[in-house]
Amino acid sequence: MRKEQCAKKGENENREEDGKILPIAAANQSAFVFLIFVTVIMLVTLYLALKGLRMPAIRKIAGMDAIQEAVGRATEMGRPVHFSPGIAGLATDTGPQTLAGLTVLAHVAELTAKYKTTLWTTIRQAEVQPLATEIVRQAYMKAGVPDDFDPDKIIYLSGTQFAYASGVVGLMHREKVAANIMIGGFWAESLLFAEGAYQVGAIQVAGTAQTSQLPFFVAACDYCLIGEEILAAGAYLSRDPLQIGGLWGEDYGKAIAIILVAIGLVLSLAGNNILWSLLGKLW
Amino acid sequence: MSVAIRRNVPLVITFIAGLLVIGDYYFKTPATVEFNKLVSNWMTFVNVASTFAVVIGIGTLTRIHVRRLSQHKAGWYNSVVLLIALYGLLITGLVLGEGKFTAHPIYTYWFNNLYVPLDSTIFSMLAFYIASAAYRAFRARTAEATVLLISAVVVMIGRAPIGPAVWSDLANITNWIMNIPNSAGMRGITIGVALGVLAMGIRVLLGRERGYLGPGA
Repeated sequence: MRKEQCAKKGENENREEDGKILPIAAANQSAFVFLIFVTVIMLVTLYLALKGLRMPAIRKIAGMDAIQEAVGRATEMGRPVHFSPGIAGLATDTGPQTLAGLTVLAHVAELTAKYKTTLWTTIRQAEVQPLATEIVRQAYMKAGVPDDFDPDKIIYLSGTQFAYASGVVGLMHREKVAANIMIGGFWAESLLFAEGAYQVGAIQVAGTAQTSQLPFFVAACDYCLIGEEILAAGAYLSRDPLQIGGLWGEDYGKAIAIILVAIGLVLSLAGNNILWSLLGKLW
Repeated sequence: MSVAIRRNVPLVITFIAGLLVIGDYYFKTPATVEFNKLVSNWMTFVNVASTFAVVIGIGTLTRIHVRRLSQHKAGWYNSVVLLIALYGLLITGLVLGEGKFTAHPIYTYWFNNLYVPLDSTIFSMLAFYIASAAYRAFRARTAEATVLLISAVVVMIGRAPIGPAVWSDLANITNWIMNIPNSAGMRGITIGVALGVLAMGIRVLLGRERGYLGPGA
């Protein structure tokens, strides 16, 4: 029964008007070609970086550099640092933002371990808790202070958005955090966190790829990572040539997108919709 | 377990799982039914495994608050409220409601009269926080901040009933700001994010992006 349903679903998505079944649904064909094309470009740039044939420079990201300043300030004040990897689940389309947040958490935990500063990590998605705990544990081990690691400082507050938000704001006020670092997927709770941390005088570094929340972070935080900047965190912090090679390939993808937008603009003004038609079914 | 196995096994699982999900997204034909079914079962397994993580989360939360209670730390009475609410509702829904949480009147009463108002209260605080954040952000210190201030004031007045009542074209100006410059900026960020996610996905699949496995991974 399930097999029949699955087959029917596949046929409905891929079936043309004349009854012909396409291997890839018409709406996804151009996206598939673009995916392959950009992937090939990125693999080439990764290869060039691996062989050392060309090593692109990575631009300065002020928000990322400010993390060390924020942790340093908290250390001087003798107050804790708060970190949130956002509220996005790992098995969703916003999951990469959480992964980016965890990458930054590894860096923050290394710094707090080195400076012997308390780090509070608050979690909303239960599946992120074991990952975050392991990351912080490894950071303390790497810094040579495994005994300073306290698993109770990586705290799952609630799976519900505003219950989690109230827990975070409460923790900020009780612990008087001196630095608040938020990198990941955030929704309506973003401003609650930012204003909560502002009220206790914390320096704030925030970043998200949620366009609807970016204005709040820009308005309320000291440093803001915009969109793709959080996804480049791994490459920026590790300075791994291969990861930077990936960013280089991404830039080519952006160049292609800009060229397509410009060509589409000109063609649309000329009344030609050939690019539109190419964005759907290709074969 | 050797370091190599601990390091490589998650990367291999990530690579295979990533390819399965990408393949399932693009290929849905009668010839790939078994493959689609496999991925569907895999995703169900992932969801079930994720749900089990809630047990770990609740365990941590309980451990922390029981410790606060036993050590009589400042605000220990809040821990009492949390534990009663957590386990009281859990037992009510799971045992008395026989697993159908909202079917039991006590659970529904607690939910509707405690949880819902508290949730709405937290959400409503946003209105005040928006005002205070806007006050700080809209101070015209630089040219960019001045543009932000002017456009924000125009949009705020244009979206309020009084704006178009005073000057009918204000609504058109507001719509132009939202639909042209604002949309263009947002779309630019969205395209960048999409490509960033793609690049990150490739790095994760190839095992180059390992930050989520911890420092030094």
